Amino acid sequence: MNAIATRYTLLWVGAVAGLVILGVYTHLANLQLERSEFITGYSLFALMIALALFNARKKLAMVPLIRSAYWLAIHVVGGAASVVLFFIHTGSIWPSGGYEQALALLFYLVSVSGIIGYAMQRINPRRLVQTDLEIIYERIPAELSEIREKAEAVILACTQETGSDTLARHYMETLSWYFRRPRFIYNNAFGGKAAEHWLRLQYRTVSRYLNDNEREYLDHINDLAEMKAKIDIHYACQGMMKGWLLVHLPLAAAVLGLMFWHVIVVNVYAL
Amino acid sequence: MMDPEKFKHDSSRYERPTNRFRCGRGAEWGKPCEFGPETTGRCGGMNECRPAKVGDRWECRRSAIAGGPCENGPDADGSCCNKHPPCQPRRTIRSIRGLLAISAFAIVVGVIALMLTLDSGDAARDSIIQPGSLTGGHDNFTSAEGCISCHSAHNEDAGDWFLAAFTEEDMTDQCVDCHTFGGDPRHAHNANFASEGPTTQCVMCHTEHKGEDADIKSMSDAQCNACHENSIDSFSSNHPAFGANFPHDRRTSVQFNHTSHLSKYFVDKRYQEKAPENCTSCHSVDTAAKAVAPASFEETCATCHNPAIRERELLVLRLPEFEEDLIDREAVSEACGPTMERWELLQEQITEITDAIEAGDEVENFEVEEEEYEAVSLEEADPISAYLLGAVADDMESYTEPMQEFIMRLVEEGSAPLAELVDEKANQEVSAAMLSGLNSELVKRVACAWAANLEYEAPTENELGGWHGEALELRYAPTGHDDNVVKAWMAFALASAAEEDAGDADVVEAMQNVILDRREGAGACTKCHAISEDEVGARTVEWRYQPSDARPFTTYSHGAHITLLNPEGVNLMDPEDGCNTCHKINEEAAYQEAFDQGDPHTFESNFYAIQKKTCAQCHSEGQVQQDCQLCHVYHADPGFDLRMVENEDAESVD
Repeated sequence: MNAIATRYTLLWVGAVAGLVILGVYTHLANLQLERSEFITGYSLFALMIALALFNARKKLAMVPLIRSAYWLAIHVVGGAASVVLFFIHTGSIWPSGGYEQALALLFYLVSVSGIIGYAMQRINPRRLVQTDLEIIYERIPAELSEIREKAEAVILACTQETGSDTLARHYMETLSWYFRRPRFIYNNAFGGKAAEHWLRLQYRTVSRYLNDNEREYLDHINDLAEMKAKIDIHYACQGMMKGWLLVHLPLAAAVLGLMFWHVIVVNVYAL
Repeated sequence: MMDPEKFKHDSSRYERPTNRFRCGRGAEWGKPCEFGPETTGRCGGMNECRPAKVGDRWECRRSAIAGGPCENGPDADGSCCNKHPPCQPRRTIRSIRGLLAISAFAIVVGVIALMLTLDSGDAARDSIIQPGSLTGGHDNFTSAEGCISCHSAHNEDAGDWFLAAFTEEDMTDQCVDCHTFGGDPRHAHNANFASEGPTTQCVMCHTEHKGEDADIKSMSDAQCNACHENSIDSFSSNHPAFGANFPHDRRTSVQFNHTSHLSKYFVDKRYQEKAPENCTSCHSVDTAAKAVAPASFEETCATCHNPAIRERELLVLRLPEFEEDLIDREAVSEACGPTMERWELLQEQITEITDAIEAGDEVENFEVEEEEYEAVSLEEADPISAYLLGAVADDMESYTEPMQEFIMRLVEEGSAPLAELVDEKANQEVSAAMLSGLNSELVKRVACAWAANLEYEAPTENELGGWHGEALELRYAPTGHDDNVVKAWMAFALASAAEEDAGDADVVEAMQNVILDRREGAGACTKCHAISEDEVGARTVEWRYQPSDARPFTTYSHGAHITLLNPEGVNLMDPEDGCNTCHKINEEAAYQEAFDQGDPHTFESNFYAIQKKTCAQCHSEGQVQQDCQLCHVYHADPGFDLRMVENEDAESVD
């Protein structure tokens, strides 16, 4: 068992043990006519704070607060455990009060977005590795610009050397659209091959009108287009991995806000 | 794999994902400049370098990434010669994420703060506090005052809220402001048990704010078992057997022997027409819960027993035989007027005087001649008046003087002297009722007759009952069943006790025997109504039906059962065989003996005890439900404070 698997296994065992303890405690407390919500509520509160601290930990990269990989593991396992603990605490799927319904809805949305995000973090890196390309997300515009410049330079060279504008017109009418910015984003995000098919189609369409000399330039253009297709995959996959946090994090912030309010109301009114 | 040479320091700028802004040209898929935006969000790529002044010359500082120093060099004013129009830098995803997160948190806080500024009682304000709707009843009574009805901190300011968060809120106090339980709400079952149980709070079982239709009363069997030392898995498995006399814990308040009535009287041809047809003729079970009160006397027993009631008269006062006549005749004549006999005597003597005057005889010092005293009564005093006067009924010497003085007072004052004696001996609760309806004029007339050593002659027959004089007696005839005067005299008799030093035990006993006489006197009431003795020995007649109070936490609904069939297929509503499913008459029971003594809990029922197995025929695993709450309640005597009923401030009601 590798280190990551060991880490997750230990955390899962700990989480399950904790949940079992709290579940049994809740059951016994209910039988004893005692109020278990206090313990389960504050446990959930502490867990939610711990989950939120993961984001803070990322901002404090210079501070030696355990490796970020451990934090991620804690966040993933703790997030899953919080869903179970939420049901142990509330005892129902849907509360009846206005703000508690809002809190529950936000909690569910955070949980679902977290699950989706975790799934993307597990799936997309493998797809990125399969592209045999490494690129920093922030550098993609520069890379695309550079590829576009190269492609346009090849087209100019082709026109000057062969005296034919066939490839140039083809570029202007079709390929310039492709090289201008990332394309087939959604298709790439879900693992489609639309870009590959589109490029093959464009290659075959123009290839028969070119002589051998021009076809060499076309092959060069095609190499650049395939490189760009890989960058597009990176753009889509990395964008998803960054973009889901645009949903998860604000929802989590709203949950924290309502959670603090819930704690205040409960302490003022019910305890 | 990208060419690693591209990422060397002089080939590529260092990307900083944590920056808040990114180049606007790159964001529009153009070529990003090498400088990137400034931290303030302004474009940093308007110039390709920032020339440095070396000595008196400006030198180009364009980076190697951008192509190194340019040919033209800086302008004379020291600015870069390669100027570009500024771009509009965009926020990075990280920055947007942070903004969204802060905004989301701020929106939540803002909405809560905004709602809190609304007036108390506003639905929108309450919606951010209420964890759910109240159940119907609670929602209704809190509609006027709102949350403050139960939560004292609701309308407080922020400081008090802060304090309230660290102060324990005892909701039980709020609950018992309206609810009453007939006991301490913090004691298990609101009762004091031999073993000390845990301190209880209402919220241990009843949690509100779970919706209008939420069931906030139900409990699981396991929760019952939490406190009970003897854990019960289910009724049919290990619930204890019922008691020896279940469900009865005391004899009935009215002595009605089912065995003798059913087997002897109701089958007797003389009474058959009057006999009830079946059980439900006397016991109305269709709407009954645990206790099935018998129908009223008038609907049941009266058909046979009513006529005898009026015959049971109470002798309160009797003119006894006196040794000597101590009564002042002149005073009697003055108060009552002369009697016919005395009038005739006077007439004779006046005639004699007139004759003497006409004959010239001496008439000075003439006196009316009194006849020699011969008591009209040969009876001894009655025990009641003897007791009231402090005399001994069969001791002429002891009662002659007080009785004649008493009669004279009756002559002069009517019933008042009798009332005084009664007030003196009886407690206030019964003294007023004991002489209720007694006509003072009647007493005076009776007393006048007796004072004149005559029998009282009633003008009419006493047909309707009540107080009446009869020759030498003042009597009370019951007007019917449930006669308050008779009940008061019986209470008086039972409450009367001999005084230790007075030595009047015999007198008291004689008085009690007369009043409580079952065979001939008004005490015949106790042929049916039991006389019970409490813990301190005080005796009372049980005039009313007494439901069992031994199992306050046990419930049963006759009404819910009578529409069902018993395991033999007999409808429980069947007035004969249906009732018999549970209530089987024990013909051997010594039912009568329970009424010959005062302890109501020493008894043998007319019926065999109901067995657990009878109930378990249906209430068992896989059949009818058998959870604890089906037959047991937690609160034995739940009620509401009077304010909940009358909508005003007042003390609680029982």
